[in-house]
Amino acid sequence: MVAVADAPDDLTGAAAPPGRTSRGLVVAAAAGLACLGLAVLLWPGADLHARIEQTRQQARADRELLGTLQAQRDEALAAARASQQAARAAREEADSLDARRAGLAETQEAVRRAEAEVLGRLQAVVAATDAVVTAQNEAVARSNQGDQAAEEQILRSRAIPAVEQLRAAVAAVQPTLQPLRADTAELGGQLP
Amino acid sequence: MRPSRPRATSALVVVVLLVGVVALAVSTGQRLAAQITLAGAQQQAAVARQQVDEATGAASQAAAERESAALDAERAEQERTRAQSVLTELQEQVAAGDPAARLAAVEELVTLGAAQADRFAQMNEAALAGQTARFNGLVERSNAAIERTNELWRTLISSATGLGPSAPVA
Repeated sequence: MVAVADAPDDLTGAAAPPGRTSRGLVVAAAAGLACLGLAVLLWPGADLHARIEQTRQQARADRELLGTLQAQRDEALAAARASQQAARAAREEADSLDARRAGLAETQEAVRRAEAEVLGRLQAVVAATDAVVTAQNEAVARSNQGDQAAEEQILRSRAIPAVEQLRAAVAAVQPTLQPLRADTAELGGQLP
Repeated sequence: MRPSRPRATSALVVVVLLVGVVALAVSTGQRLAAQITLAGAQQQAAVARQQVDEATGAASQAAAERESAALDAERAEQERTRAQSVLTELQEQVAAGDPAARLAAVEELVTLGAAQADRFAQMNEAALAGQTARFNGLVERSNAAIERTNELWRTLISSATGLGPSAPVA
Protein backbone atom coordinates (compact mmCIF):
# COMPACT_ATOMS: atom_id res chain seq x y z
CA MET A 1 0.00 0.00 0.00
CA VAL A 2 1.38 3.39 -0.96
CA ALA A 3 1.35 6.16 1.59
CA VAL A 4 -0.26 9.39 0.75
CA ALA A 5 2.93 11.03 1.66
CA ASP A 6 4.57 9.40 -1.33
CA ALA A 7 2.21 10.96 -3.90
CA PRO A 8 3.61 13.57 -6.30
CA ASP A 9 3.31 17.19 -5.25
CA ASP A 10 0.19 18.78 -6.82
CA LEU A 11 0.26 19.12 -10.53
CA THR A 12 3.97 19.17 -10.94
CA GLY A 13 4.32 15.51 -10.43
CA ALA A 14 7.57 16.20 -8.77
CA ALA A 15 8.45 14.35 -5.75
CA ALA A 16 7.49 16.10 -2.62
CA PRO A 17 8.57 15.64 0.83
CA PRO A 18 6.30 13.44 2.86
CA GLY A 19 3.74 15.42 4.83
CA ARG A 20 4.00 18.47 2.62
CA THR A 21 2.40 16.69 -0.28
CA SER A 22 -0.53 15.55 1.72
CA ARG A 23 -1.05 19.01 3.14
CA GLY A 24 -0.99 20.50 -0.36
CA LEU A 25 -3.65 18.13 -1.51
CA VAL A 26 -5.79 18.89 1.49
CA VAL A 27 -5.37 22.60 1.00
CA ALA A 28 -6.15 22.30 -2.68
CA ALA A 29 -9.18 20.19 -1.97
CA ALA A 30 -10.30 22.61 0.71
CA ALA A 31 -9.76 25.53 -1.61
CA GLY A 32 -11.72 23.79 -4.30
CA LEU A 33 -14.53 23.04 -1.91
CA ALA A 34 -14.38 26.57 -0.56
CA CYS A 35 -14.61 27.88 -4.08
CA LEU A 36 -17.61 25.70 -4.70
CA GLY A 37 -19.24 26.86 -1.51
CA LEU A 38 -18.50 30.44 -2.26
CA ALA A 39 -19.84 29.96 -5.76
CA VAL A 40 -23.04 28.60 -4.32
CA LEU A 41 -23.27 31.53 -1.93
CA LEU A 42 -22.57 34.08 -4.63
CA TRP A 43 -24.94 32.59 -7.17
CA PRO A 44 -27.67 35.15 -7.68
CA GLY A 45 -30.73 33.78 -6.08
CA ALA A 46 -34.39 34.19 -6.68
CA ASP A 47 -34.55 37.15 -4.35
CA LEU A 48 -32.16 39.15 -6.51
CA HIS A 49 -34.12 38.33 -9.64
CA ALA A 50 -37.28 39.18 -7.79
CA ARG A 51 -35.84 42.55 -6.82
CA ILE A 52 -34.85 43.17 -10.43
CA GLU A 53 -38.32 42.26 -11.61
CA GLN A 54 -39.96 44.27 -8.86
CA THR A 55 -37.83 47.28 -9.73
CA ARG A 56 -38.72 46.93 -13.39
CA GLN A 57 -42.39 46.61 -12.56
CA GLN A 58 -42.18 49.69 -10.39
CA ALA A 59 -40.54 51.59 -13.25
CA ARG A 60 -43.24 50.38 -15.65
CA ALA A 61 -45.97 51.39 -13.23
CA ASP A 62 -44.36 54.79 -12.79
CA ARG A 63 -44.14 55.26 -16.55
CA GLU A 64 -47.83 54.41 -16.88
CA LEU A 65 -48.63 56.78 -14.03
CA LEU A 66 -46.49 59.40 -15.73
CA GLY A 67 -48.67 59.13 -18.83
CA THR A 68 -51.80 59.47 -16.75
CA LEU A 69 -50.43 62.46 -14.90
CA GLN A 70 -49.35 64.15 -18.11
CA ALA A 71 -52.80 63.57 -19.56
CA GLN A 72 -54.37 65.05 -16.42
CA ARG A 73 -52.02 68.03 -16.61
CA ASP A 74 -52.82 68.58 -20.30
CA GLU A 75 -56.53 68.31 -19.60
CA ALA A 76 -56.30 70.74 -16.69
CA LEU A 77 -54.25 73.20 -18.73
CA ALA A 78 -56.71 73.00 -21.61
CA ALA A 79 -59.59 73.63 -19.21
CA ALA A 80 -57.69 76.53 -17.66
CA ARG A 81 -57.05 78.03 -21.10
CA ALA A 82 -60.71 77.64 -22.00
CA SER A 83 -61.75 79.32 -18.74
CA GLN A 84 -59.26 82.13 -19.31
CA GLN A 85 -60.62 82.70 -22.80
CA ALA A 86 -64.17 82.68 -21.46
CA ALA A 87 -63.19 85.17 -18.76
CA ARG A 88 -61.51 87.40 -21.33
CA ALA A 89 -64.53 87.28 -23.60
CA ALA A 90 -66.92 87.97 -20.70
CA ARG A 91 -64.86 90.95 -19.54
CA GLU A 92 -64.64 92.33 -23.06
CA GLU A 93 -68.39 92.02 -23.37
CA ALA A 94 -68.87 93.59 -19.94
CA ASP A 95 -66.65 96.50 -20.98
CA SER A 96 -68.60 96.85 -24.20
CA LEU A 97 -71.90 96.81 -22.29
CA ASP A 98 -70.59 99.38 -19.83
CA ALA A 99 -69.50 101.57 -22.73
CA ARG A 100 -72.94 101.23 -24.31
CA ARG A 101 -74.59 102.09 -21.00
CA ALA A 102 -72.34 105.12 -20.57
CA GLY A 103 -73.08 106.22 -24.14
CA LEU A 104 -76.79 105.75 -23.64
CA ALA A 105 -76.75 107.68 -20.36
CA GLU A 106 -74.78 110.46 -22.04
CA THR A 107 -77.23 110.65 -24.94
CA GLN A 108 -80.17 110.52 -22.54
CA GLU A 109 -78.69 113.45 -20.67
CA ALA A 110 -78.18 115.31 -23.93
CA VAL A 111 -81.81 114.74 -24.84
CA ARG A 112 -82.89 116.00 -21.44
CA ARG A 113 -80.83 119.15 -21.81
CA ALA A 114 -82.05 119.76 -25.36
CA GLU A 115 -85.64 119.14 -24.36
CA ALA A 116 -85.33 121.45 -21.37
CA GLU A 117 -84.00 124.13 -23.71
CA VAL A 118 -86.92 123.68 -26.09
CA LEU A 119 -89.52 123.58 -23.33
CA GLY A 120 -88.04 126.70 -21.79
CA ARG A 121 -88.51 128.53 -25.08
CA LEU A 122 -91.99 127.07 -25.41
CA GLN A 123 -92.87 128.55 -22.04
CA ALA A 124 -92.13 131.93 -23.59
CA VAL A 125 -94.54 131.00 -26.38
CA VAL A 126 -97.19 130.18 -23.81
CA ALA A 127 -96.58 133.44 -22.00
CA ALA A 128 -96.86 135.36 -25.26
CA THR A 129 -100.04 133.47 -26.06
CA ASP A 130 -101.47 134.47 -22.68
CA ALA A 131 -100.58 138.08 -23.35
CA VAL A 132 -102.42 138.01 -26.68
CA VAL A 133 -105.47 136.29 -25.20
CA THR A 134 -105.59 138.72 -22.29
CA ALA A 135 -105.39 141.74 -24.56
CA GLN A 136 -108.01 140.37 -26.91
CA ASN A 137 -110.34 139.52 -24.02
CA GLU A 138 -110.03 143.07 -22.72
CA ALA A 139 -110.69 144.44 -26.21
CA VAL A 140 -113.77 142.25 -26.53
CA ALA A 141 -114.98 143.40 -23.12
CA ARG A 142 -114.64 147.04 -24.16
CA SER A 143 -116.41 146.24 -27.39
CA ASN A 144 -119.26 144.64 -25.48
CA GLN A 145 -119.47 147.84 -23.43
CA GLY A 146 -119.83 149.73 -26.69
CA ASP A 147 -116.46 151.41 -26.35
CA GLN A 148 -115.14 150.77 -29.83
CA ALA A 149 -112.35 153.29 -29.49
CA ALA A 150 -110.94 151.57 -26.42
CA GLU A 151 -111.25 148.24 -28.15
CA GLU A 152 -109.26 149.46 -31.13
CA GLN A 153 -106.74 151.09 -28.87
CA ILE A 154 -106.18 147.88 -26.95
CA LEU A 155 -105.96 145.84 -30.12
CA ARG A 156 -103.41 148.14 -31.70
CA SER A 157 -101.36 148.90 -28.61
CA ARG A 158 -101.34 145.49 -26.92
CA ALA A 159 -102.86 142.66 -28.94
CA ILE A 160 -101.01 143.26 -32.21
CA PRO A 161 -97.58 143.72 -30.50
CA ALA A 162 -98.31 140.63 -28.41
CA VAL A 163 -98.87 138.64 -31.58
CA GLU A 164 -95.49 139.83 -32.87
CA GLN A 165 -93.93 138.77 -29.60
CA LEU A 166 -95.61 135.41 -30.01
CA ARG A 167 -94.16 135.05 -33.51
CA ALA A 168 -90.73 135.92 -32.17
CA ALA A 169 -91.11 133.42 -29.35
CA VAL A 170 -92.10 130.70 -31.83
CA ALA A 171 -89.17 131.62 -34.07
CA ALA A 172 -86.83 131.43 -31.06
CA VAL A 173 -87.86 127.83 -30.50
CA GLN A 174 -86.76 126.69 -33.97
CA PRO A 175 -82.95 126.71 -33.38
CA THR A 176 -83.38 124.51 -30.33
CA LEU A 177 -85.43 121.90 -32.15
CA GLN A 178 -82.65 120.54 -34.35
CA PRO A 179 -80.39 119.42 -31.45
CA LEU A 180 -83.37 117.76 -29.82
CA ARG A 181 -84.22 115.95 -33.05
CA ALA A 182 -80.63 114.79 -33.51
CA ASP A 183 -80.19 113.67 -29.89
CA THR A 184 -83.56 111.91 -29.89
CA ALA A 185 -82.67 110.07 -33.08
CA GLU A 186 -79.34 109.04 -31.58
CA LEU A 187 -81.07 107.90 -28.41
CA GLY A 188 -83.50 105.81 -30.43
CA GLY A 189 -80.59 104.23 -32.27
CA GLN A 190 -79.09 103.12 -28.97
CA LEU A 191 -82.20 101.25 -27.90
CA PRO A 192 -82.64 97.57 -28.78
CA MET B 1 0.04 -0.17 -10.08
CA ARG B 2 1.25 1.50 -6.98
CA PRO B 3 0.98 5.18 -8.13
CA SER B 4 -2.55 4.91 -9.56
CA ARG B 5 -4.41 5.72 -6.34
CA PRO B 6 -2.37 8.76 -5.41
CA ARG B 7 -2.67 10.03 -8.96
CA ALA B 8 -6.38 9.53 -8.89
CA THR B 9 -6.61 11.37 -5.65
CA SER B 10 -4.53 14.16 -7.00
CA ALA B 11 -6.62 14.30 -10.14
CA LEU B 12 -9.78 14.37 -8.09
CA VAL B 13 -8.41 17.19 -6.03
CA VAL B 14 -7.43 19.02 -9.19
CA VAL B 15 -10.87 18.50 -10.62
CA VAL B 16 -12.49 19.72 -7.43
CA LEU B 17 -10.25 22.74 -7.41
CA LEU B 18 -10.87 23.52 -11.07
CA VAL B 19 -14.57 23.01 -10.74
CA GLY B 20 -14.60 25.18 -7.66
CA VAL B 21 -12.66 27.95 -9.33
CA VAL B 22 -14.75 27.81 -12.46
CA ALA B 23 -17.95 27.72 -10.45
CA LEU B 24 -16.76 30.64 -8.38
CA ALA B 25 -15.93 32.59 -11.52
CA VAL B 26 -19.25 31.81 -13.13
CA SER B 27 -21.18 32.57 -9.96
CA THR B 28 -19.33 35.82 -9.47
CA GLY B 29 -20.01 36.78 -13.06
CA GLN B 30 -23.67 35.96 -12.71
CA ARG B 31 -23.98 37.95 -9.52
CA LEU B 32 -22.17 40.90 -11.03
CA ALA B 33 -24.38 40.75 -14.09
CA ALA B 34 -27.49 40.54 -11.94
CA GLN B 35 -26.38 43.41 -9.77
CA ILE B 36 -25.54 45.51 -12.81
CA THR B 37 -28.98 44.70 -14.17
CA LEU B 38 -30.53 45.62 -10.85
CA ALA B 39 -28.59 48.84 -10.71
CA GLY B 40 -29.75 49.71 -14.23
CA ALA B 41 -33.34 48.89 -13.34
CA GLN B 42 -33.08 50.93 -10.17
CA GLN B 43 -31.67 53.84 -12.09
CA GLN B 44 -34.51 53.64 -14.60
CA ALA B 45 -37.00 53.33 -11.77
CA ALA B 46 -35.46 56.33 -10.07
CA VAL B 47 -35.71 58.34 -13.28
CA ALA B 48 -39.32 57.24 -13.72
CA ARG B 49 -40.09 58.12 -10.10
CA GLN B 50 -38.51 61.53 -10.51
CA GLN B 51 -40.55 62.10 -13.66
CA VAL B 52 -43.66 60.98 -11.80
CA ASP B 53 -42.88 63.39 -8.98
CA GLU B 54 -42.37 66.22 -11.45
CA ALA B 55 -45.50 65.28 -13.35
CA THR B 56 -47.44 65.12 -10.10
CA GLY B 57 -46.31 68.64 -9.27
CA ALA B 58 -47.13 69.85 -12.76
CA ALA B 59 -50.56 68.19 -12.64
CA SER B 60 -51.27 69.75 -9.25
CA GLN B 61 -50.18 73.15 -10.52
CA ALA B 62 -52.31 72.76 -13.62
CA ALA B 63 -55.29 71.72 -11.51
CA ALA B 64 -54.81 74.79 -9.32
CA GLU B 65 -54.53 76.93 -12.43
CA ARG B 66 -57.71 75.39 -13.79
CA GLU B 67 -59.56 76.08 -10.57
CA SER B 68 -58.28 79.65 -10.41
CA ALA B 69 -59.21 80.24 -14.05
CA ALA B 70 -62.66 78.80 -13.46
CA LEU B 71 -63.22 81.14 -10.52
CA ASP B 72 -61.98 84.08 -12.55
CA ALA B 73 -64.27 83.11 -15.41
CA GLU B 74 -67.16 82.96 -12.96
CA ARG B 75 -66.33 86.45 -11.69
CA ALA B 76 -66.04 87.73 -15.25
CA GLU B 77 -69.42 86.22 -16.08
CA GLN B 78 -70.91 87.96 -13.05
CA GLU B 79 -69.42 91.24 -14.26
CA ARG B 80 -70.90 90.65 -17.70
CA THR B 81 -74.29 89.81 -16.22
CA ARG B 82 -74.21 92.91 -14.04
CA ALA B 83 -73.24 95.12 -16.99
CA GLN B 84 -76.02 93.60 -19.10
CA SER B 85 -78.53 94.10 -16.29
CA VAL B 86 -77.56 97.74 -15.79
CA LEU B 87 -77.73 98.42 -19.51
CA THR B 88 -81.08 96.70 -19.87
CA GLU B 89 -82.48 98.65 -16.93
CA LEU B 90 -81.37 101.94 -18.46
CA GLN B 91 -82.72 100.94 -21.88
CA GLU B 92 -86.06 100.11 -20.34
CA GLN B 93 -86.08 103.41 -18.46
CA VAL B 94 -85.29 105.35 -21.63
CA ALA B 95 -87.82 103.39 -23.66
CA ALA B 96 -90.48 104.01 -21.00
CA GLY B 97 -89.87 107.73 -21.38
CA ASP B 98 -90.70 107.36 -25.08
CA PRO B 99 -88.40 110.11 -26.33
CA ALA B 100 -89.83 109.91 -29.84
CA ALA B 101 -93.33 110.64 -28.53
CA ARG B 102 -92.00 113.52 -26.44
CA LEU B 103 -90.26 114.97 -29.48
CA ALA B 104 -93.47 114.64 -31.46
CA ALA B 105 -95.34 116.47 -28.70
CA VAL B 106 -92.75 119.23 -28.65
CA GLU B 107 -92.91 119.56 -32.44
CA GLU B 108 -96.69 119.78 -32.26
CA LEU B 109 -96.45 122.47 -29.58
CA VAL B 110 -94.23 124.53 -31.86
CA THR B 111 -96.62 124.04 -34.76
CA LEU B 112 -99.57 124.99 -32.57
CA GLY B 113 -97.75 128.11 -31.40
CA ALA B 114 -97.03 129.23 -34.95
CA ALA B 115 -100.64 128.53 -36.00
CA GLN B 116 -101.91 130.43 -32.98
CA ALA B 117 -99.81 133.45 -33.93
CA ASP B 118 -101.36 133.46 -37.41
CA ARG B 119 -104.82 132.93 -35.94
CA PHE B 120 -104.41 135.71 -33.38
CA ALA B 121 -103.29 138.05 -36.13
CA GLN B 122 -106.43 137.17 -38.08
CA MET B 123 -108.53 137.69 -34.96
CA ASN B 124 -107.05 141.15 -34.49
CA GLU B 125 -107.82 141.96 -38.13
CA ALA B 126 -111.39 140.68 -37.78
CA ALA B 127 -111.95 142.62 -34.59
CA LEU B 128 -110.61 145.82 -36.12
CA ALA B 129 -112.79 145.24 -39.17
CA GLY B 130 -115.85 144.54 -37.05
CA GLN B 131 -116.21 141.01 -38.49
CA THR B 132 -117.79 139.49 -35.42
CA ALA B 133 -118.75 136.15 -36.96
CA ARG B 134 -115.28 135.60 -38.34
CA PHE B 135 -113.81 136.64 -35.03
CA ASN B 136 -115.98 134.20 -33.12
CA GLY B 137 -115.10 131.34 -35.47
CA LEU B 138 -111.42 132.06 -34.95
CA VAL B 139 -111.97 132.13 -31.20
CA GLU B 140 -113.42 128.65 -31.29
CA ARG B 141 -110.45 127.30 -33.22
CA SER B 142 -108.10 129.19 -30.91
CA ASN B 143 -109.72 127.70 -27.83
CA ALA B 144 -109.43 124.22 -29.32
CA ALA B 145 -105.75 124.84 -30.05
CA ILE B 146 -105.16 126.09 -26.51
CA GLU B 147 -106.88 123.02 -25.12
CA ARG B 148 -104.66 120.79 -27.25
CA THR B 149 -101.63 122.77 -26.12
CA ASN B 150 -102.51 122.26 -22.47
CA GLU B 151 -103.04 118.56 -23.10
CA LEU B 152 -99.61 118.26 -24.69
CA TRP B 153 -98.01 120.11 -21.79
CA ARG B 154 -99.69 117.84 -19.29
CA THR B 155 -98.40 114.81 -21.19
CA LEU B 156 -94.90 116.18 -21.26
CA ILE B 157 -94.92 117.08 -17.59
CA SER B 158 -96.40 113.78 -16.43
CA SER B 159 -93.77 111.79 -18.31
CA ALA B 160 -90.96 114.25 -17.67
CA THR B 161 -87.64 112.77 -16.67
CA GLY B 162 -86.78 115.55 -14.28
CA LEU B 163 -85.40 118.32 -16.40
CA GLY B 164 -88.54 119.71 -17.98
CA PRO B 165 -90.63 122.56 -16.62
CA SER B 166 -92.29 121.88 -13.31
CA ALA B 167 -95.86 122.81 -14.26
CA PRO B 168 -97.96 123.61 -17.30
CA VAL B 169 -98.17 127.32 -17.91
CA ALA B 170 -100.94 127.56 -20.46
